[in-house]
Amino acid sequence: MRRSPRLVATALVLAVAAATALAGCGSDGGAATADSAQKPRRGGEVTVLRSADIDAWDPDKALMIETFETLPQVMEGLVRPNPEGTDVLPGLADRWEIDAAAKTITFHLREGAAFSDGSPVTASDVAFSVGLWRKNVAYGTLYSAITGTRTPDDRTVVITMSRPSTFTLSWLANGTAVVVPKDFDGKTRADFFKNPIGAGAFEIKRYVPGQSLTLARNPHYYDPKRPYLDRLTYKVVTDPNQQLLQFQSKQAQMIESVPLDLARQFSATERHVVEPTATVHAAFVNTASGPGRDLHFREAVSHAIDRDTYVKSVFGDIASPAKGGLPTGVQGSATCGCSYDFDLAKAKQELAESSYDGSPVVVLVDSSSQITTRGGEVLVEMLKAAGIKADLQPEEGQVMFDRYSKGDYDLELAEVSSVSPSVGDIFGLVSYMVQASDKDKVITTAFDKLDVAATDTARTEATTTAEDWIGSNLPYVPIANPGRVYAVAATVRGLAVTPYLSYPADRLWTR
Amino acid sequence: MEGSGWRLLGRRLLQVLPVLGLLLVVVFALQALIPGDPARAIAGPRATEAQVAHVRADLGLDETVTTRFASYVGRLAGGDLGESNRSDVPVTQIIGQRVGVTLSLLLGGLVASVLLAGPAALVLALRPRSRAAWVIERVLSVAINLPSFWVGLMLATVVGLRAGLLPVGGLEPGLGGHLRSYLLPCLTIGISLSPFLARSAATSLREVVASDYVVTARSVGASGTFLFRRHLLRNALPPTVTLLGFQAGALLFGTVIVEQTFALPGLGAEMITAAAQRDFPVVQGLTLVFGLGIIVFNLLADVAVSVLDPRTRTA
Amino acid sequence: MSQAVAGVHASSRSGRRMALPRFHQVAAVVLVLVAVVAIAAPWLAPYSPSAQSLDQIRPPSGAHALGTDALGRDILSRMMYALRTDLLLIVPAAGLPMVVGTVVGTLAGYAGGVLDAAVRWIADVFQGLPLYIFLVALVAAMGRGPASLLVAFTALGWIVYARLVRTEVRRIKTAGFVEAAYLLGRSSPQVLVQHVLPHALKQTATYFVLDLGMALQGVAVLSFFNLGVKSGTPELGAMVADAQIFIRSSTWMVALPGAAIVVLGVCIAAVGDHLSSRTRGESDGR
Repeated sequence: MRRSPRLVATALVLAVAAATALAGCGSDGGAATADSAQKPRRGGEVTVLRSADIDAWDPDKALMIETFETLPQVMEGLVRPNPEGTDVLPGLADRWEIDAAAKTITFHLREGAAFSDGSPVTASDVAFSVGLWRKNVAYGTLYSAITGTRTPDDRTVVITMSRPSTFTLSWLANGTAVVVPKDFDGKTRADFFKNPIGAGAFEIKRYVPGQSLTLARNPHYYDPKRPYLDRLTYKVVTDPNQQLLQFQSKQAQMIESVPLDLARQFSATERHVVEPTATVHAAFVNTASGPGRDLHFREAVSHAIDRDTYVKSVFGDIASPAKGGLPTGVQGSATCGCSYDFDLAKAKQELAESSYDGSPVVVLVDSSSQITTRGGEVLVEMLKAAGIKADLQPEEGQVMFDRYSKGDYDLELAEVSSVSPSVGDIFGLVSYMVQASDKDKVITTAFDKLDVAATDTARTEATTTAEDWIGSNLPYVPIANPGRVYAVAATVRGLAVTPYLSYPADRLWTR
Repeated sequence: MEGSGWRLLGRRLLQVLPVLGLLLVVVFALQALIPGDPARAIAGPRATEAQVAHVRADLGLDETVTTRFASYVGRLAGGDLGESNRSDVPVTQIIGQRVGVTLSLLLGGLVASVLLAGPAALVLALRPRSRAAWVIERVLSVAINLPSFWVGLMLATVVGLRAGLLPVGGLEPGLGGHLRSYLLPCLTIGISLSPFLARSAATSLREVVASDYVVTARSVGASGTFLFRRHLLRNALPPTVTLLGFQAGALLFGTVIVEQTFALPGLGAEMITAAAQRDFPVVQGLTLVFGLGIIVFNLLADVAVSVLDPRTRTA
Repeated sequence: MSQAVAGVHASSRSGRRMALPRFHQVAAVVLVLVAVVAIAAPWLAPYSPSAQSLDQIRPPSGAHALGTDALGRDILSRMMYALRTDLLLIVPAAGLPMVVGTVVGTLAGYAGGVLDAAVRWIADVFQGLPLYIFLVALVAAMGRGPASLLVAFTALGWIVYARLVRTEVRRIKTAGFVEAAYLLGRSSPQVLVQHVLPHALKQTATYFVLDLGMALQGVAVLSFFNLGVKSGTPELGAMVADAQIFIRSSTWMVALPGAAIVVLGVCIAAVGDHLSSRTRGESDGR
């Protein structure tokens, strides 16, 4: 993959997508199979509570996990993720072929695919959309293998690539590879994305930014059975207590992410636990300035963290201590040959060898996330025990992102998560973060290998190389692989969430 | 209102002008308190360098303070409060979308306060030595110190959730839904505001009751209702309304708190969110709106007093 | 602030007649105890306020008299330290406006003329600003923390004191004994300090006490909005805010710090009301 300034944005964006994602995620296979035994009912409506609104309808502005989850409900892409989060399923394209050299993907558009205004989805709409993705300010680099499109006929799109990238296909299942009408139906880009239409299962009924989004069934959707729901409302409620109250009083049927303290207050039947998720909860170190430049200091931090206690204290039982730095549970996931052990004596020793001068280190956390603010308090105490003084500074997600990108921090407690069924998207983040320290381009080379890997073995091998490098260089200190909890009323069925926080709302139904 | 009432209003409006001027200065000066680059703060963390430069030029940061203030007031006069640095939505539009909720809460909160405070004040003033008065006095002194977010939380939990009578938060659709959604929040405001009102009203009432006129009227056998309407209310109301004017700030902030506890999409909730997000244009715009709200509220209280109590008109 | 002070002020008039004879005395004793606990917290607290354990969300027991919070910290110890935090916040938040207001009021009253007129005018217009809204705006501009609280309370709180002291200064300036002091050859500052201020101070003390209650509410509200003290700092409002979500399952976690705020507030108000009625009694009698 070429390094370009765009990657900078990509990397940061992923960081924020993850950091601000107090969103729920993941899938519980059990619930999905139990549901499939019953016949979904058509009709009804569901209200979902989320703690943050989507960033915007324009995929260029996608930062929050909510955006990745919601955009494809209205603007479906060519492919969608499978519930396990390991592969892609047909979306607007019902089948595709990859040529022998793996340098073109030919997508065949589904019969009957139509935008919600009734006009059919054609190859030229898709070609236009591919152009849009490639120009994406934030994520353009992840589409960098794509060199162009051909449209042999109205229902066939050929995506040509510069290299035999297997990563590209899985990346297309990320929620922002949306298909929109060619030339935005004659509107300007800004105008179109104020009230966009797409060929997804739903259309926008009413959207009040920051408050609520109501989707209604797309009457022209290609599948005559889905969506099952007539209407789906996402309500933004930031206060977890208020979320619980509204759920318990049946004003809402789902909560996208339940803080773990609250999770204990839900009955087992209402809890939809997702474990593991493609999320890594880690302390990101400012390696450009401050004490974090010193590997001894980073080692000290890593050894100071008692991950077993941390996981119990911050996550209840719904997480596991991190064994690697990259997401688990997606294509290419692998564990590190190294180990992340708690050893206070070692931590003190490393600290003594480091250039740390005893002044307080700034620990940034996202103030809107119960998990990271609480994690921050636990982390600070653990650092204190090892002799590192810490100054905990909770900031609202965007402000934190701003400070992170300016290097105005020493440690940042955040969560990174894949947004597509491959560990590859996080490679983008990591390779950006380690640009300065990764002189031998280990991570970059590993990603290039992963990008074109044809087998799972080759993928795992590439990931392991990267994991080992992360383990010995500690550009960030992995702490935990958290699980996530959805609250789902007994009346709502059909919820299946991928490990990277996406669930197809067209499969939800109510009893 | 009679002619003298209008004259009074005119005079009050003139008195309001310096307050308005100061409000503008204060809101403008908030910028100076931002650490670091105010242009960056206003443009927001996601802004590009070009956008920041644009804002810097807009603010005229190299120009003198007076020029900048003049252009700020100029933009305000043109109805331009700037744009949110998060959503790029004009601040005026945000205010337009949310002001209805806040106004409803204000009105409902006032009504609830009066309904709660009225009877309490009557008991305190007319039966000062009764057991009921003793209990009310104790309740009031505790209520005055109850954090209103706590009151809201308890109401939502007990009435909303346990009893399942009313929505625990958010706005339900439709007129009926709206009314139901506002009940608990307005009651919360009422509970925090009514102790002040009740005590003030009780004091005024007591003075009236003790006045010669009422004593005389009673002794000649004037009926209770007549006395109440004709004199008690008339004489006790003006000071209470004046106090309400004094309490405008507390009342407005009460709406901020309940909007937050009950997840209502009003100006206050937006203010808190914007403050956490350092969405400075929104904070600035809302501070201005709240400041204006106080001024208008005081003005209304003054006018109401003058209508209720003709004696003040000549004052 | 001034508006609310006016409210409490008005209330105290009625409160005086109703108050139980020794209510304010009990309140004063409670306040002294609170101060003692706050000062001696490091010696009194059974645990460190920040020591975490996996014994999380435990109800009151022998080991933890008031139970533990979500991070396994001892609630009793945290509350003791929280009193410390709160007192250290509210005393300056109420004290600074008193100092500023007294100085400004003295100067204005003594100098008279243009300065006096200017101060009066500024006081008139500043009075219209809503305290808490202003506070939130300041937090947005300056970031969270005690600085915003101090600035907001001082910017709006000095007015009451300035008015009061100014009136007092002007009244006494014309009174006979000051003129007598002049005749005896005292300098202006000496006259101020020896004769004018002692009279004004009694009443400022009243306002100060009532402002303590305002500041306490202010701190609690800011914490509730997550705009207050640094996270992790033991503070009563923050403890309530943090424990909110346990209100159904573990009510004591919210009830204890919440009750502490209310009790503290009631006691401050009782003492303040008593002071104000006494001051008024004196001036009435004079």
